[in-house]
Formats: sequence, structure tokens, C-alpha cells
Amino acid sequence: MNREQNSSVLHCEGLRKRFGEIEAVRGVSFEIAPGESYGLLGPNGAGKTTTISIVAGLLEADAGEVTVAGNRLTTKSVAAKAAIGFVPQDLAIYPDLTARENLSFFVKLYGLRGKANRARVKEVLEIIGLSERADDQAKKYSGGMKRRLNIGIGLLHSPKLLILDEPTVGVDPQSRNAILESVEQLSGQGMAVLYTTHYMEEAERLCDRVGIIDRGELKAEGTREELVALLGEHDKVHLTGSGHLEAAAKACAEIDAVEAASVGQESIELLVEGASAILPEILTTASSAGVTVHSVEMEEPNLEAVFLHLTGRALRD
Amino acid sequence: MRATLLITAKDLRQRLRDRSAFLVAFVAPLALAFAMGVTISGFSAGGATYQIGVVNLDRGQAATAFFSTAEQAPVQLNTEKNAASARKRVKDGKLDAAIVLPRGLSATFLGGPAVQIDVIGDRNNQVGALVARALSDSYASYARTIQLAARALGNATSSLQIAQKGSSLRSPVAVSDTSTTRKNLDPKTYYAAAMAVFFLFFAVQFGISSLLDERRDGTLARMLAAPIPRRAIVGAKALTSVVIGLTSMVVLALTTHYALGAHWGNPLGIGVLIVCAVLAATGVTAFVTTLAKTQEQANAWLSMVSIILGMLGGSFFPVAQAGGVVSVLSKMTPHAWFLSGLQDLSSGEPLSSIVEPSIVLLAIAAACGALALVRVRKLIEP
Repeated sequence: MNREQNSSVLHCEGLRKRFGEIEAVRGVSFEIAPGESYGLLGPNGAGKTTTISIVAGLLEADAGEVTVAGNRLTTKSVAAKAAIGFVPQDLAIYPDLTARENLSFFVKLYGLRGKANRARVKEVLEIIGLSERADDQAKKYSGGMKRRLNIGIGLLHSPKLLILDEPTVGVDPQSRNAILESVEQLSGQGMAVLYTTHYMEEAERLCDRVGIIDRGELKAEGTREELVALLGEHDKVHLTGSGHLEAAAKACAEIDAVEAASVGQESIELLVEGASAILPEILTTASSAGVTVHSVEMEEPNLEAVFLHLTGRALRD
Repeated sequence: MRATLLITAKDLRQRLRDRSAFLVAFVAPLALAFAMGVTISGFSAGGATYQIGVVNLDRGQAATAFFSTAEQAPVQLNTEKNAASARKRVKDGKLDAAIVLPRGLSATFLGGPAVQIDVIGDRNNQVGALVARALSDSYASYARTIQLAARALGNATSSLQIAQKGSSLRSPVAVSDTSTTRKNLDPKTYYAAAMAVFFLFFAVQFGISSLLDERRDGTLARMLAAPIPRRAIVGAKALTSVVIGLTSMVVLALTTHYALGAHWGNPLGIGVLIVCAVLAATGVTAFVTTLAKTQEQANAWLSMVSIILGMLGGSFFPVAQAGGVVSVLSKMTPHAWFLSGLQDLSSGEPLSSIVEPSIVLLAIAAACGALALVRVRKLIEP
């Protein structure tokens, strides 16, 4: 995707949002071109959902500007909102209505009525694979079917920008895969996608570009390769073990070549410059701090390592 | 407006599939109106006739005068053989109370010794005993008047003649009770209307408070992301409440009229009162809903407010007759004003009689609605 060749579908500039004492979004700027998938990657509480709420027109930003398909977006703007399809994090469907009724209701909100409404509903039912169960109440669906309906509602009016807020949270692996495939297809059809996640693998798989967000700030953005290049010669070292992991991580962080260290579940992750040379020292330090090391893995630099590099903490923190 | 109607139609479709809405809006008020109207049929003084037994031990002209003076009272007098049988029938509930006219009652009018009229009551039927007591007091007062008149004429023997003439004369002072008896609704109508307005406050909750359901379920965020004004969402919820409320009230009025024989009065006036009551209920419900943070909290608060307003407003018994603070508090409820307007209409008052209750109901709707509008902004943020 060559962004420069297309005018952006979404343009955000200097977004800020404060809730009381907490500044949830601090000067976030990014843009998305038609057909591009853009991932906002960050841990829980990083400001992803607040940013998305502003971009979807649900929340008014305290400062900054959002333009969607050339129209300035506020909570009241009609033209800009008409270009957005929004899929919230949790299931947002009416369980006592059928899939057809759910779709028909929401597409009417976007002004599609009569034959056009029925035709589009039928089309989306086929896309999400619910044609056979279209007239069953949604409460009778499986979790995966509900998820598909949830996404289908966002697609109804053929939006120029589809916003998906962590659509795979709490989803079984099979449904998760189906959702990821759907997003890939939509992006391939020329729809711009804004996708928030705290799963590094999803961002790497789906997104043409990724913005790394932490504590309300966009730390960096670019393609996977561009972001990994930020790491330079750094490697990610993954130690599993038992004992005083916190103390060991702290001790390892004192080593000059170790740029960042974070503790996970029975593991320590380290971002290390020239890992091969420094590995014996790392193991000695960990042992001295009271950790019995079970395994050591050196991984290819990935977005998680980039996150660690940029923020000093792991994505799951 | 189109978005408002669209959301309202969706809400109503959901409510149609929700059995609890049907139960609250139609079944429960009908069942309770029927049960209360039948079981408490003697509660309203307006339509009641009390069965009073009379043991006539005097068998003279004074006793005949007693029967004549009691003709105007809402009682049916039944002659009993003796005090023991009267007492038994009162105890068995076959009589509301009994009066014993003693031997020598007529003789007192001829200058004989004073006698005592006994009232036989039952502690479980205090109203019946009070009616019998009132009849006896009235007769005692009448006897004293006759005695005074005879003394003034200086001829004690003329007492009985005066009594005889007096009992057949029309009183120069007529009593017309326009404020209570005539305006009291019969029990079936009273409880039909009282239950309808009581459950109205529960029925309208299915509209406005579903805003909290939508917020919890994420569908509100979806609507907020759609190219529709936010006021369309709030307006739709209020409209849903109004439609459910109006449907509930109209169906209950028609059903209780045709099935239970309730007399609601002038249809136009009833229509106006129903619209005003529904608006007031929607306003109150909207305001209470905006005070809550969750649907569960809203449900608890709305139930509490509905029950308190219902009790104070006379949905279970005509509490305004209690007087004092309760009576004043009653006047602050939409229920009391609705029932007051209905009583005026039912008693044949002109349509203008419902102007005051209607204005008060609309004022409650406007005040609570305005407060709700100020607070609703917080509810429609994701």
C-alpha cells in the first residue's frame, strides 16, 4: 500500500482527552490511507479505547482534530460519521432481536431503507455466514456467531473507515481466527481499518502500519520493519524460571548491555544489545538473585520487543 | 424525527417480546384492580349500604318515628327479635351493627323516665358500629328537640303529636354532600383507576430506563457512532415510555369498563387526564433514571419511588382522607391528581373540572422532564 498516492481516510492531529486528573490521550496524531490497516498497539489502559471513542465520534476531544473522508468529525457531525463503521469491544447487539432485525435497524440509522436496506442486509448476512440463522433471535447464537453479527453491523453501510476496538478479547481461538480473516478480507477490498489490540501477533498479522501507544502517547508508528529497525542490534531474551524474578530482573537491568527488563508469569523478558556475548553474564546475575533458570530463548526482534524498547515495560504489564 | 421513530419502533418491538412488560403494563394492574375492587367493595362510603338491626322493645309511636328519621341514611334497617339474636347476627357478620330501642321509649315523650338506646357493634366492623351510633345520636337529638318544643308549648302530652307531625315534615334545612359522597368513585372504578396509574409508573420504565440497558450492552455506543443526533436517542426513549404508558392506560380503562363495570366518566376528559398522567409518569421516571448509574440501581430506585408515590397518592386506599401531613404529601403525587380529576369527571362535573389536575400533572411532567434533560447528557456518554 503506497500511502502517499492516496489522500487519507482518517486524519487525527494532536488529540487530547482528560478525565478529571487523568490525561487519557496526550497529543495523539496519525492518519490512515484507503485500504490501509492501521493497528493501535498498547497494553490495557494505554488510551486505545479513548482514542477510538474520539475517532468514532462518541467522545469529544478536549483538543485536536479528526477528519474522516474529508469531513471534520465531532460528536454531532453527520457526514463524517456516515463514513465510519464501528465495532465496539464488547458485543453490541440486541439479543432479543433476530440477526436480520439487528442489521436492518442499524442500517436504517445510516439512512438505508426499503429495497436497498433488504438487499444490503442479505449481503452482509452472507458475508458473516448467518443467512441460514438470520431469523433466529441473537440470544440463541453461539459466541462466535454473535461476534460475527457484531462485526457485520459495522460493515452494513459499506463504510470508508472500519474501526474495530479489540474485537478478539475473550474470543475462542476458532472465532478469533475467523475475525482476523474477515478483517484481512475487508482491508483487501479497499476499506481502511483502524484496529486496536494488545496482542502483538494480531497487530503483526493484520496491520500495514502500527502505532505504539502507551500512557496516552503515541510512542512510534510505522510498518513492522520500520518499528523493528528502531531496535538496532537489540535482541529479545526470554528467560523462564522460578524464584525471585523481580529481584533478578532488577539486577539484570543493571547490566550495561541490557536496555530494558520486565517480569512476566514465571519469566523475565530482556531487551539486550549483542545478546549472544552477554548471555552468560545474564544467567549468572539471575542465579545470584535467587532465580533457578529453566530455559533461555533468544527471539527475533518483534513488536513486543519494540514496545519494551520504547516504554521500558512489556505489553501485558 | 425519523431516527426517533426508528428507535422507538425497535424499542417497542423488544418490549412486545418481553413478557415482563406485558405483565406489568396489563396483567398485574387488571388482576389487582379486580381483586381490590371486589374484596374492598365496602371501603368507599359513597356506594355502601349498611345493614343495621333494630330490636324494637318499645313498639310505640316513638319507635315508628325512629324508623322514619332513619330513612335518609345509607342503611337498611332489619327488625330483630331480641338483643341476643341481634348480637349473634352482628358477631356472625350478617349485620354491620344493631340498635336496641328500649321499653318505655315512647313514655319518655309523655314525661316518663329517661331511657337508654343500646348500640351493638363488633370490633371487626367499626364503621358499622359508628353508623349505628350516628343514627342513635341523631335520634336522641331529635327526641330532645321534640321535648323542648313540647315544654315551650307548656303541654307535655303534645310531645308525641309533635313527634308524629315532625317525622312527616320536610326539614327546612337540606344537606347536600357534594365533596365526598357524590364524588366518591365506586370501588371497581376507584381501584381500576388506582391500579392503572400505579402500574403506569412501572410500565413507563420500560422506555426511558432502557437507556441504561443500551449503555451497559454497548448498543448505545453504536447508536452514538451513527449519523443521528443524540437528542433522537433520548427522544425515542421518552416516546417509547409514552406509547407504552398510553397503551397500558387505554387498554386498562376499556377492559375494566367492559369487563368489570368500572365507570371512568367522560371519554374526552379521561383521555386528557390519561395523557397528562402518562407525561407526568414519564417525567418522574426519566428524572429518577438519570440519577442512577446502573440499570440495577435505576430499577431499585424507580420501584421505591413508584411504590411511595402510589401509596401516598391513594393507589391502595384513599389516603387523602387521612388529613394532616399525609393529605398534603398526597397532593404532591401525580396519582392523587389523576384520581381527583377522575372523581370529578365521574361525579358529572363539567370538563373544566379537570383543568386544575391536568395543569398540575403537566407541571410535574415539565419540571421532572427538564431536570432529566439536564442530567441525561451524562447517561449518553459511552
